[in-house]
Amino acid sequence: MDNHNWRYPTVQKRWERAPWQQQQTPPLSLTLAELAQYNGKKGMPAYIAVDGVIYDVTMEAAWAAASHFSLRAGQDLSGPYRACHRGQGILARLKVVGQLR
Amino acid sequence: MTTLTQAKPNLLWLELTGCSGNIISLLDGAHPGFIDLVTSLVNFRYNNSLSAGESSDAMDQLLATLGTDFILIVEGAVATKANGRYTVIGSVQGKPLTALEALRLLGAQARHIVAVGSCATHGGMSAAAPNPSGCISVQQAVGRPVIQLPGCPCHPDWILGTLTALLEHGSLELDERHRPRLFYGNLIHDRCPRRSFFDQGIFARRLGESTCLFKLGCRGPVTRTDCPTRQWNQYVNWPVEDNTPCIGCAQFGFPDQMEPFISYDIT
Ligand code: HEM
Ligand code: SF4
Repeated sequence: MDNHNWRYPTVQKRWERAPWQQQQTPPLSLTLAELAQYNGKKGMPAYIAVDGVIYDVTMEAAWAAASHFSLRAGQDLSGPYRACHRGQGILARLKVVGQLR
Repeated sequence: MTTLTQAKPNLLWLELTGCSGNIISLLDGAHPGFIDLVTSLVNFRYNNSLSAGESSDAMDQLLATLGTDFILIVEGAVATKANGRYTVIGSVQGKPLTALEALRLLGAQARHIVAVGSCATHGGMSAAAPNPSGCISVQQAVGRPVIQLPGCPCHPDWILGTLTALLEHGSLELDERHRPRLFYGNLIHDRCPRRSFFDQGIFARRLGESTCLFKLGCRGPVTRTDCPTRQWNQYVNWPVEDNTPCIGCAQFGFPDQMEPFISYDIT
């Protein structure tokens, strides 16, 4: 039995119940320059793009301060993502908010 | 404390390119403590900060352990530029002995090599950009498996617990990054007493507030240590409970990849 890497059970977070999380906004279509504004600072949410899909990492624990292992939100991070997380299925758990144009 | 079943091996503690933070941290150990280490566990033969011997006497004592049964603890990164001349640990017959040479010499013979502190395990502070002395990790420099005990500094229990396990059982369970699972098995975020604040979305906006420090840049969610349960300074406290975010000092890439350490403008 593998009892290592114990993880805290997933609970529904308060912000997931919040109206702004539930409301079905139409998917965004952003250029790279527009994506750069979503840097997670001063009221802007933190978005990142991998392989053309834009994800919301504003409330991702591993992305504290809209940053993760020197990466900053507001960018296309396809290359770095593949370098460290290929095949780990992490993206499937992130919230999709749109596509790169 | 019970006496070990095996004969006591020699222990060498090399300090390479670092700040002596780990040997100081070791002295704060309590259960077992430093006195237990030197009286019951090992013959502690060499450490540059603690040795009574100086200059060539100290070097003689270090080199006399070659050919014996010894465990090598290394703190600090390995400077490689200019053939390692950025870090000289002593002189032998009038010739400077670089940290790089000493490590290769002793590392080839040690029963175990234990890299203590983030400079030794990954380069850490010493290898931070622009890395003027070309520092690399102990593992990279010796080219043989090294037990990795990251942390800035390393907790005395992680050092003494690892040593005790090695002496009593010959080995201990390591994860895929060669860290003992006993101490590095869980994410800080998964054992944090402030986790319920995270789950409820209640975040500190300033240092000193007693809720979740996520929005200030807490690296607990990407760092594996037992700080929340073990705590520091003989088990009294740890950064988050002192209202300051985890800076990921035990994660690879520290410090550069764990920055920014503190932010006040996060949504
Ligand atoms: C688009 C880029 C990236 C995204 C979206 C991403 C996302 C994530 C997420 C969501 C987690 C938490 C996983 C969990 O809860 O199980 C995580 C963990 C982690 N990420 Fe990334 N990541 C990215 C890039 C990188 C890169 C470039 C590196 C390498 C430097 C990296 C290294 C890590 C490590 C080491 C952990 C796990 C820490 C641990 O559990 O011990 N990530 N990442
Ligand atoms: S303070 Fe840090 S480790 Fe603790 S719950 Fe918040 S983000 Fe996680």
